[in-house]
Amino acid sequence: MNLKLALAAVLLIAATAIGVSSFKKSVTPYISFVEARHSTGLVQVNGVLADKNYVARPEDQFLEFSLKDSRGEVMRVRYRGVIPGNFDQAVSVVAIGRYTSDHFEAEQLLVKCPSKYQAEAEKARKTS
Amino acid sequence: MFTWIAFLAALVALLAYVAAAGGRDGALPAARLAYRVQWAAYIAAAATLWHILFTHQFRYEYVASYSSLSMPGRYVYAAFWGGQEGTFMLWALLTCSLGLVLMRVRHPLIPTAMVFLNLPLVMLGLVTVMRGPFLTFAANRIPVDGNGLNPLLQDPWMTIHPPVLFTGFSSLAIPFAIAMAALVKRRYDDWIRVALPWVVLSTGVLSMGFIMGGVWAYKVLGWGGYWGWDPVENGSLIPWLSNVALLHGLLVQRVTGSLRRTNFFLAITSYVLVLYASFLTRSGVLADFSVHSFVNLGLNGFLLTFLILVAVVGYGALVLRLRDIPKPQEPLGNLSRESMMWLGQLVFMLMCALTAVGMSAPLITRLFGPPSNVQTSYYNLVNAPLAIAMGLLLGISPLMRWRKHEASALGRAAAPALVLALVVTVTAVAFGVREAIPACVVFAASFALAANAIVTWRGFRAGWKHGIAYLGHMGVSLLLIGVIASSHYGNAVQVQLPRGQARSALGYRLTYQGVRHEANGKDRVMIAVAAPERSFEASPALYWSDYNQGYMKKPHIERFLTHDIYISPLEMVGTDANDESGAVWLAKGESKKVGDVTYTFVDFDAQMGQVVHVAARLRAETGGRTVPVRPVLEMDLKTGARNSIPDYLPGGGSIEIVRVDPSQGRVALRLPGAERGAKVGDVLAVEVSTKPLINLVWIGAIVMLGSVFLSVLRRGLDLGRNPTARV
Repeated sequence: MNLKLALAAVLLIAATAIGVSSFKKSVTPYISFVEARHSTGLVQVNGVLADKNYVARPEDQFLEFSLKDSRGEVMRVRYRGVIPGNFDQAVSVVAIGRYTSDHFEAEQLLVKCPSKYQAEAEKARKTS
Repeated sequence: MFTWIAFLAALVALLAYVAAAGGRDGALPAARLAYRVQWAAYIAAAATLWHILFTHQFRYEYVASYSSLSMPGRYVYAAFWGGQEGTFMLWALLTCSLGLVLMRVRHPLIPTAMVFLNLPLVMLGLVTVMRGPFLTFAANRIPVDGNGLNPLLQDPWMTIHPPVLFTGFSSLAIPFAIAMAALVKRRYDDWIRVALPWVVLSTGVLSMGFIMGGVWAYKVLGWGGYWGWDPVENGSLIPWLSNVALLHGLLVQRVTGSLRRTNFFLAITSYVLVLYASFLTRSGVLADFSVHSFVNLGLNGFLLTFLILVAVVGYGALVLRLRDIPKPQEPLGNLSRESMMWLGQLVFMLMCALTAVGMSAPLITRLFGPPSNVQTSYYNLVNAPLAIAMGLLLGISPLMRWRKHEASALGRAAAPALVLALVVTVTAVAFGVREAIPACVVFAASFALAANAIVTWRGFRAGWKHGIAYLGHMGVSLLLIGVIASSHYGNAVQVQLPRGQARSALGYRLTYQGVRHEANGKDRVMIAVAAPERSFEASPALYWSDYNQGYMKKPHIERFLTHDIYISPLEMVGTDANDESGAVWLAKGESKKVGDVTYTFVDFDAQMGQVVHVAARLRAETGGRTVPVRPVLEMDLKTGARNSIPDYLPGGGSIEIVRVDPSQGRVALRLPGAERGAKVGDVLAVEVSTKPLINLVWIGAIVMLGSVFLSVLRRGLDLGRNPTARV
C-alpha cells in the first residue's frame, strides 16, 4: 500500500480520535446543581450568592460560600486561590470545577459585578 | 460622505472589471479610474476620522467612545481602530490599498482577479456605509469629554498590532481573487506564480501581528503567557494555518504540477476563514465566552450573508471546474519531498480544523443543548500531537529530493539530525521534561532544527535564495521548543507579601516595600527581590482604572539569558476591618475627593432598637455622573457586635462605614482608592513565576519572520525577472 496514503490515514484517524476525546474532556457545560452533583468531570455552574455568610481567609487563600442557582438549589462551594477582589459585591458567580463528596471544589471563579450603568459598562468592556 | 463615494466607486469598479474580464478592453481604464477613486475616498475618510479624533469633536459617537481630551497624541491616532466601526473601515482601506498594487501587476488574469477583489470590497464598503464611524449625537447630548481608550490598549505594541493584523487579513483576499480568476479563465497553472509572493507576504504579516500581540500580552496583561487560545487569537490563527498550507502547496505545484485542486481549495478556504472568524468574533455569538467582549452592531445577518456569498461563489466555482482541472501527469512520488509536504499540509489543515471546532464550540454545543465552551486545555491537547507530526515532517522534507528518494539515502541524510535530536531530548529529559508528549515535541522540533540547519548551511553556500526558507523552519523549531519549555516547565506560586516583611517564593526572597505614585496615575508597587542570579527591584504596576472600573495590573519581567522571572501583582489583601488609619472622615455636607471620585456626605438615616442601623447617605461623583451610595453599619447594643454592610460604586469599589460619630455628625468611611495612602499592615498578593527558555520563543519568532520577509523579496524578484509573468 502507498506509504503516504497510509500515513495520511493514520494522521486523520488519530487527529479525529484525539479531537473528539479532547473535546469531550474539556467542554464545560453550564449545568444545574442537581446535574453537577452527579457529574464526574469538570463542569461550569453559575448562580447568585445565597447569603452573605461566606468564609473568606485571604491569608490562607481560602473561600467558601453558598451558591444558589436559578431553580433555587443551594450548593456549598470551596475555592482555594486568590480571592477575587470584588467578590463581596458579586451579583452572580460562575464556578468551574468538580463536585466532590459534599461540596463543589472550584478551580476557577468568575465574578460578575453589579453595574448601575450597564450600557456604559458594556461599552467600556468592548476592546479591539 | 466619503464612505458613500467609496462604496459607489467599488460598485462601478466591479461592473467595469466584469466587462473588462469579459473581453471589453475599453472598460479597463474606467475600471482602474473607479478603483482609484474608491481608494482616494477611503484615504479621505481615514483622514477625516483622524481629523475629528485629533480635534476632539465629541459630537461624533465614535470620537466620544474611544478617545478623550487627556489621551496622549500617539494613542489618539490609534483610537482609529479602537472600535468595530473603525476597524471595518481600516479593513476596507487596507484591502483597497493592496488591490492598488495588484492592479499594476501585468498578467492576463489581473482584470478578472480585480472582479473578485472588488466583491469583498463592495461588501466592506456597504458595512462602512451602514455603520461607519461618523454617526453623530443629537445636538443636546454632546458630551464634553470622551470615554478614552481602554488603558490596556494604551501601549506602543497595541497601536500597531491591529493595523498589522488587518493588513494580514486583507492580504488574504488577493490569493483568493487570483485563484478565482484562474478558475474562471481556466488557467490552472500560471496563477500560482502571481499568487506566491502574496501568499508569502500574508504569512509574514500575520506572523508579525501574532508576535506583536504575544509580546503585548506577555508584557502588559500579566497572566504570564503570550498566547491564550482566545477566540480572537484562534480567529486569526486558522486563516494563517490554511495560508501556510497553501504556501507549501504552491511550492509543490510549481515543481511537480500536482496539487492543483488542493491549492484552489486552500486559497478559497483561507479567505472564507477570515470571514468566518470575523463573523464569529464580531457578531456577539461568543460574547459570553470571550475576554474580548463584542457588542453586536446589528450586522450579524449582513456578516453572515457576506460569508455565505464568498463561500458559495468560491467553492461553487471550484466544484464547477473540478472535472476540468487536469490531473498531474505523474502522481506524487511515494517517498518524496512533495509527499511529505502534502502530509504537512494535512497536518496544518487538521490543526486548523480542530482549532476551528474548538472556537466554534458554543455554536456546536447549542445544537445539542445549552451552549458551552471548551477549556483552553483543549487546544493544547489537540495541537501538541499534531505539532509532533509537524516537527518530524518539517525535518524530513528538506532532506528529501523532489519526486523520488531512496530510503537508504534518506537514512544517511537524516542520521546526523536524528543524533542531534536525541542528544537534545536526553538533555531535556535530564532537566525535567518527563511527560511523553512534551518530550516527543522536543524531539521532533530539535530534529527539524538540526535537519534544517544542515540544509540552510548547504543552501546559503549555493546562494542566499536557497537557504532562507529553511532558516524559517529553524525559527519555527526554536519557537516550538521555547513554547514547550516556557509554558509547561515554569514554576508558579502565589504569595502574600506583608509590607516590610520578606517572604520566600521559588527560592527568591521578596519584600514588599510600598507604593510608588506616578504622575500619570499608573502607580507601581515596589518589591525588593533577592534572587540567586542577582538582586533587583521589581516595580509592577497596580492601579485603579476608572475606564475599566477595576484594578489594572502590569507585571514586572526580570530577564535572564535562560529564563525570565515574572512577577505579576494580583491584589491588595488583608486590610484589617477595625483599622481606622485608611479611613476618611466626612462631616455632613462636606465633600472630599479620594482617587477620582468625589464623595459628599448628605446625612444619616438611623433606625434605633436593640440593633441600631445607621446608614450614611452619600453622593459619589465620578466621571461627570453622580450616584447615590448608602453603606450601613449595624450595631447590637447588647453584645456590642458590629456588622458593616458596604455599598458599591458602579462596576466596582466598595464603600464601608468604619466609625460613626453622631455627636458631631461625622462618619469615617473606607473608600476605594484610599488604600493608596500609607497604611500599616497592608498585604500585597503577587504571583511569582519563571519562564524557562522564553527567549527561544522570541528568537524563533524573529528568525521565522526575517526568513519570511526575505522570501517575499525573493518571490517578488522572481516575478519581476521572469518574462512569462509579464505578458
